[in-house]
Amino acid sequence: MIQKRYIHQILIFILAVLLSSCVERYWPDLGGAYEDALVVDGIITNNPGPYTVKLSHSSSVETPKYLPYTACSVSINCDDGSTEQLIETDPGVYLSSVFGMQGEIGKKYKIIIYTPNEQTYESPFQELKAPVELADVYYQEEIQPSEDLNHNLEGLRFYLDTKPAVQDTNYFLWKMESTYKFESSYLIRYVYDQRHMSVWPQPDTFYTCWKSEQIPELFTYETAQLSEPVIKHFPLHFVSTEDRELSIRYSLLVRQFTVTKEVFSYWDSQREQNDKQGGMYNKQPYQILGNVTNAKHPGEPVMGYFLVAGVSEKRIFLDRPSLHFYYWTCELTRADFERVGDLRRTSSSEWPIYLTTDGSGRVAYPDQICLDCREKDGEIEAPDFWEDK
Amino acid sequence: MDKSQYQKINDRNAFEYLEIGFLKIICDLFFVIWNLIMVNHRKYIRTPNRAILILVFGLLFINSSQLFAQAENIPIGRDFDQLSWNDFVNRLEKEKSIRFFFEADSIPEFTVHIASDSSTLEEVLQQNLGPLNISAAFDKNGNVFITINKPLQTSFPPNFFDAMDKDIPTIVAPESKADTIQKFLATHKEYVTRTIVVGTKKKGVGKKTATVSGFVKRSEDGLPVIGATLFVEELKTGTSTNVSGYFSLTLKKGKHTLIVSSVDSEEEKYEMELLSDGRLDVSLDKKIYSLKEVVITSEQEDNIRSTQMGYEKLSAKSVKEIPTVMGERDIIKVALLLPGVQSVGEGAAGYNVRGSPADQNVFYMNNIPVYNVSHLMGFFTAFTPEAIDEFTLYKSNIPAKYGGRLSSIFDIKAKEGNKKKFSMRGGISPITGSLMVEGPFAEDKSSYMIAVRSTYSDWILKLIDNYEIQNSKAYFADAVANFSIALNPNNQLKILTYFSYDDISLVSNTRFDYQNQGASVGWEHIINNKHNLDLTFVYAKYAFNEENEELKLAAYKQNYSLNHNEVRANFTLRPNNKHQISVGFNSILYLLDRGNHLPLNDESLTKAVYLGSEQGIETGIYIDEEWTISPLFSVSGGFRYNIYAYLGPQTVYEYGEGLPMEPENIVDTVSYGNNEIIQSYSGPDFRLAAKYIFTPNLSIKASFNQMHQYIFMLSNTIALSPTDKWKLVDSHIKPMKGQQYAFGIFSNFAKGRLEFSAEAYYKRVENLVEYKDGADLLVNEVIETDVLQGDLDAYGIEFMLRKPFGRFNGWINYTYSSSNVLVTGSTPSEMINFGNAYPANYDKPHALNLVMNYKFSRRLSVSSNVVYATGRPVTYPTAIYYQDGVQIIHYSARNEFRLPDYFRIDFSVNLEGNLKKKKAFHGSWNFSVYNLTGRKNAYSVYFKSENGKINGYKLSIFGSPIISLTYNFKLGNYEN
Repeated sequence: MIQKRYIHQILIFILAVLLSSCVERYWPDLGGAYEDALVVDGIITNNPGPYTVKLSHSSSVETPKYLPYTACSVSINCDDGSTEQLIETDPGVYLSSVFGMQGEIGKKYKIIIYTPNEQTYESPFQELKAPVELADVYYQEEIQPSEDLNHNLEGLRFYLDTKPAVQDTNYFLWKMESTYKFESSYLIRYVYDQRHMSVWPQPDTFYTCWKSEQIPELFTYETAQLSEPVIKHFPLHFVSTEDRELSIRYSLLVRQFTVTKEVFSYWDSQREQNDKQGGMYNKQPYQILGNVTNAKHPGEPVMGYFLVAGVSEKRIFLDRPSLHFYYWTCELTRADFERVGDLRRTSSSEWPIYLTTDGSGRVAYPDQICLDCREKDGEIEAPDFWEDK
Repeated sequence: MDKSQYQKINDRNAFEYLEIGFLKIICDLFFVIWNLIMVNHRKYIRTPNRAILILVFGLLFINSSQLFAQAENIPIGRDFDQLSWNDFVNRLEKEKSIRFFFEADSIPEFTVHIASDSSTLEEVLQQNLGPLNISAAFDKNGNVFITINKPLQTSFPPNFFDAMDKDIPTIVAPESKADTIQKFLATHKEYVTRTIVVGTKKKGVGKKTATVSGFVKRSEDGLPVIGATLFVEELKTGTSTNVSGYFSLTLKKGKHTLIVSSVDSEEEKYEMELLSDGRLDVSLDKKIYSLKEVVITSEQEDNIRSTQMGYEKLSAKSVKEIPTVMGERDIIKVALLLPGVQSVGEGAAGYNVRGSPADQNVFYMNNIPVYNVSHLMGFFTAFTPEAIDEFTLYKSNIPAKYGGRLSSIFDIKAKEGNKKKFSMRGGISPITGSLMVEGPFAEDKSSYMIAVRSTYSDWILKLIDNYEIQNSKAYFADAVANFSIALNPNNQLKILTYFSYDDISLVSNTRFDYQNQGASVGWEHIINNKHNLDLTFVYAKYAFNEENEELKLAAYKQNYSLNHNEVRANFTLRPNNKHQISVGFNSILYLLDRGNHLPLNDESLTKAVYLGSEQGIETGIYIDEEWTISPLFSVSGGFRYNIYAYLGPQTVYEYGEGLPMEPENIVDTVSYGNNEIIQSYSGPDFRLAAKYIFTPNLSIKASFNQMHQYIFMLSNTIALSPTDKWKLVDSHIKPMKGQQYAFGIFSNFAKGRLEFSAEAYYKRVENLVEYKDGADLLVNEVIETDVLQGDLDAYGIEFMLRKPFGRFNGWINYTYSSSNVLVTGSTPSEMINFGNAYPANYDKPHALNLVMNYKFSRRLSVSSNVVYATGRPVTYPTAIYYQDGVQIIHYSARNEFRLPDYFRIDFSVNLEGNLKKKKAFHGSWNFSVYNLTGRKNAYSVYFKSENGKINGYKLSIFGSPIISLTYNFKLGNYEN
């Protein structure tokens, strides 16, 4: 049963009352504690495949790293007797074939993993639940008072509504992917390459980019405590104007997974553990183990989850809202003009170097991030789903 | 050796009494000023307002010279020879109307020699103190000032008044020595031992023994003296008074010397002629402390002689200077400075006594149990400081009359109203104001005491530059009213009501209010001057409401209440002086409303959930006996039989045979009607204790306790929170059973100036209630599916060294302890921590507390605390992994790591107002600094995955020094 409890906020409030409490960054001596375990991150839904299972090693807390677990044999089994062997396409990434197994509502699925060191891991069969449909995804302007900034934090909070479910108790898990279009600060006028400066033919080449990101927050909810099995106005993540995400056009894909109680309690516990920490009125963190176990040594911790879920998706687009934006933009400084003289001293590894000009045509050599949107992990090609208005 | 001599001048009328006091103060004051002037600023003598001086001195010299003999001329006989200095002073003060003023620590120990029978006091002091370079000065009022080196100036120089006005005939001619002695004897009742006849010859015919009984009361306010000892010198036997100040003593008939004493009172000695059973009420004068006397004591009532162990007593007065957070005087928080008492963190609600969880304690305000003792979520304690007289903490050897909690009893005694006169006191701290009034309804018989405390504003919130906080509200209040009514000498009625309230709202999100209410009516009856019957009815209620709008779609309100209705009867029998037997019973009817979980508004989609109610009856019958086998060896034993019944109406789920209690394993639902017994439990409790005195300064004690507990708190947060609910044991959740073995060595040394004790204990709790990981306890219709029961093992050793008296006093204690929990079962879901033992959240192996107080003068003192403890156990991350790009933290086994150690120093300065005897108000200032070094002690350390990064944070509650200034005031002078 999920229950939102916000007592920790009271604590924080009382602390503030007493004027002297403080939260500071702190890293305790963990004594090199590190558990190396198999991590499973797999999914099968009622959407058409291929389905991906990612296997990795857990990493130490001090130096978090993604460590693929390669050379395993992975298969997804269905309770109708069918089996699909997955193929490792990238290190630690195991994929089903496009025309292979397709998830069907009402059937049960499980995963079997054989590792190179001859251990067998398995999940129990889980039912693929009929997805509850997403009715709407929308947003509202939100202004949050801020202590650290000299202005209020402005932005948009996204919300969702579901369609009424058939059953009274439904367990949900939401994953979101945001994609946004953004622009560099300057157009490219010249390029310096091979010790040679030339006019750049197409100034807006690296001017506009798209960037897609997983929203690294967990959202879970269940309808058991609601009077009707329908969720209305469920708050999702908040995007502030401190960053350029909302500056031109933003798209959000919400994937709503209708899951079993077991899947839900795993993710809901993870969410609670991550969001509700710090106060004395919170529950203690604890070990949350996934649904995959070592067949021979059930005590061995295995992390992560093999998710079997009915999915319903919705994507929305929105243009720049009429809010105050505070994201950082480049401004040409004297140093940027002076640095043009140093171009000859640059090494080949830095080439090509893009240059811009100011209003009067003076050449400037600003930080490349101001000219080349790829420097901010953008893609210059719009994704397939992108719709401009 | 400062004693109130005025109380001894009992042959004067009230007016004279007052006048003398008034003049005396003024006189003393002038002498003090004069001395200051003479010593420091000889040239700055100014002529004060002449008219007043003339008047004052006129009266002063006329009156005082008539009233007081000059102390220096008091004859000292040979019977004073070979007394120690202290005995000499004590005896003189007792027998003659003299007061000695000196700094005890500055006078070496020596024996007084008296050369001849015709010596005067001046000569004696000269002979004895002169060689030690100590001077004695006498004033006209029977005061003797003992100073090192220079004598104190006790009168103005002869030409002082001449210089002012030669015409005023104020100076009385010196009297002859013989006259003085004559006058002294005439005006002062000489010390005579009072002979009292108890009973009549006629009634005592044919009997060898007789019983004398009565009350011991304080003379100044008529309040009972608890724990006063009555000692028969010839028989070397005695007794002590109970909580009503009542005693009963059976002796052989005849003449006895009876010495009555108590910690805060003057000793009284009576020649008693016991003829038959009869009554003797004793009035003790309050001891007036001089510089060297008690400031802080956590008295273990006679460390050596009492059978009690695992027992601590603090009086409100004795802890008033100990620095506290925000200057709130909080006696219960001071308990954390005692050995064996811990909390999970600074400002957290809940006390963990000897390795037990917080719900194994009970707090009684007199007889009223208080189910939530926190204000502002635990930063303060919900007891009006002005209303508390003292509190007693029983950590191991819990009297059989108390049952139902495994770990400890915090027995808080409300102040009883002054039975002589009206009085008032109050305090203003940065956050609260408090006021207490007391006085008699009928003098010497009935009194009232009413105290209230409230936050006077949440102005402090407005100072904080944060929108959320500025728009939040926090309020708390508490009140106590205590009435004591003597119907006749054998029947007393005691009525107490108690209330506490908290209201906290956060901007737009959450609102809480919670309250305690209680009332008790007690009748104390004395039978045959020998036995006592106490009958008490108790009502207590704890309730909370929560409104939560944080998630709009699920905005809810929730309520909860617990009603405690109790009747208690206790019968104390004293067949003879070697035995004291208590028999009695108590029966509690619990009525719990588990509450409703309702949508808060129309927008909320929350489903209404009615959690229903619970009923249970807990009854205990007990017998407790203390048997003094010999003056050196005594044992006490108690037996208590508990009967508990869980009553309908209730719907009980049945689970599949041998299957874990989980919702999917429910096989049947059984409904029970109103008052139908669903489940009953019964079990015996034992209390055994023994004491053996090896030498007057060394004793050993041992005890064994077995207890049962039928109510527990649903709490799986680290600290107790105001939404934690109490729950009765039922057909699925079994009562907790606790056993504790304790052994202790108690010693006094350095002439009783230091008290030492070492106590070791081993405690075991069966059926300890724990919760499944991540359990939700707020809206849970089937609690048993989230509860697991396990075992608690705790042991420890506590060392305590105390200096209760002196200018410098305080205590230091060190505790080594361990507390481990084991919850295991047949399936993984029935285990916690995979069936492995883990340290309890509050397990802090090393704890050191140092409390120091130094009194510069009666007006100025400083105090300091030093606190060290091992950090509490915590669960830290041991690995990181990724799920669909989101970083997930994997945690260690439960409580595998520890927070950094805790360390804190506090400091406070207490400045009392002037020491005038006659004044309307007395004020005092307390300046305190909590956490002087500003060490950022970790309250919690936690980790968050933020934007794809794991960040660690440390939360400190009082991460910098907390400075506060508190003003306290009361009617009357320093002493009362």
